[in-house]
Amino acid sequence: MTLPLITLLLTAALVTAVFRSAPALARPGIPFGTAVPPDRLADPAILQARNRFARTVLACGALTAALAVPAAFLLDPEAVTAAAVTALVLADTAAYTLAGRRVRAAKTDGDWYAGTAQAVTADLSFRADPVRVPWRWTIPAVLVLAATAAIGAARAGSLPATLPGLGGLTLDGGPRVPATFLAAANPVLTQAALTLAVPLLLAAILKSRPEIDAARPADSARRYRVYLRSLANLLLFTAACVNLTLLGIALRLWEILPPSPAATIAIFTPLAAAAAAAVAFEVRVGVGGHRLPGGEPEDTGLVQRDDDRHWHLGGFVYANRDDPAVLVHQRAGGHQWTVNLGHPVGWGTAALLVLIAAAAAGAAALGIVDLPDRGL
Amino acid sequence: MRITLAVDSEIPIYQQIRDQIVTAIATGELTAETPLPSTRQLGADLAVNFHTVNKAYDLLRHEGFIRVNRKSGAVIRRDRTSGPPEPGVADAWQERLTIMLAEAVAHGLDRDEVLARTDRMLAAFTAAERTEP
Repeated sequence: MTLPLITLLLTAALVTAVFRSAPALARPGIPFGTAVPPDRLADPAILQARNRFARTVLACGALTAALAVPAAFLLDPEAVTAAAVTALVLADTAAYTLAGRRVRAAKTDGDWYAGTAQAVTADLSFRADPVRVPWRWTIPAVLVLAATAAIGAARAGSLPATLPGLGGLTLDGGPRVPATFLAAANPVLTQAALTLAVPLLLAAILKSRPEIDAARPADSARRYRVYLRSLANLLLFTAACVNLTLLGIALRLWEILPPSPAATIAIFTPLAAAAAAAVAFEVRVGVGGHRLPGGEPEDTGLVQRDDDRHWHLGGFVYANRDDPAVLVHQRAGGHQWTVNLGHPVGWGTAALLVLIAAAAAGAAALGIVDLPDRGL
Repeated sequence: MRITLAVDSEIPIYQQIRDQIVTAIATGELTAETPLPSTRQLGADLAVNFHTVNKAYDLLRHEGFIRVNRKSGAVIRRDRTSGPPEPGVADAWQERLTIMLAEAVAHGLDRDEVLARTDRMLAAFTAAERTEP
């Protein structure tokens, strides 16, 4: 009973902390995914929206804990945790969207962009001298993958008929599973997919449109370049860390590593290192490099174009038919990129995802495949 | 170099792109044989339709500033160090200059002012080159 309760409280606290800090982590010029001119950033309407959002997020977190803990005693704790966390994420997202809508309303009412000269700037140096994927930093992830595959190949002949369920604190709880190829090779296959996907994703991100601010083009271009380089290193470091954790899980699954709390801690230490690196990146670099030490002050007399009309659902969805970009840096939230739903490739991707989800749901409903009914 | 588009300007976007590339050649920021981004890439970087960029590149090619070939894309064809202008260029330019000068004279700018302003602009192009890395 204690472990599910701790998981429930920790997850709810984590979700609350992430949403509570989201406005501070986002790019400073775009409160709640809404473009505002720089001289309006301290407007009372924005401060009010910020305070309201902070209070709502804390209240939602407290309410979730107050309702879910007693429910966990009465019902299945795992189902309660899943439902409570989903509800909390939805409520917090709704609060974020609402805050964005309030800022937009204040912006429209006060006609904040009146009298400004809106512009958009492209820095051709990102094309003449692009930030490239640091291929040599993909080597650690590849080496870990190769080592795991080699150990797996050596162990394959002597595997027992069933493998441990990997439940509980020492990763040996739960019912044992038959040692099929997919069950046994699962960690290696995940590593391979990750090792391939991260550099490909990175290459696409590095080619996408840099966020240059027309008000201070030189400074924002310099920051964005450092941001891209650091992000590339962070992503490849994270891939190597995840691969290391998967190696640990594989050793446990193949019963090479005996179960113990110390082993579990060792297995998940790389993930903790990756999380620490992500926090350090957030604190030192920030989205678009806005936390980097300042450069020379710049004033072109222009403001970055207000493109709110292309952003929907609180700045999470982008659709602009005139924009040839497929992948765009998201405005709301943090370091995410989103597909341009106004581009054929964008809506093709979205349609494909919907089809895959529908096919999976259909197959599960017909009993063709067993969808996992719980998380890790 | 950077291209900045004034969104609410009366000057069409393709014209702004074309003008800034020509200015960058004049200041020495873009030199002969420098490749330009593809129309799709520049369109994506500016969030404008790539047909608009295509129109700017077509104009630049027609005016002899860039050449476009299928393999290497758009490349700056010449800069001011590439020697004297091609035949006909000076005459065509003078035709447009006539209108500019007529506007100045009609608005009452005198000869000295026109020459002084022209001189300052030409000096600014050379100065920009000296400060560029």
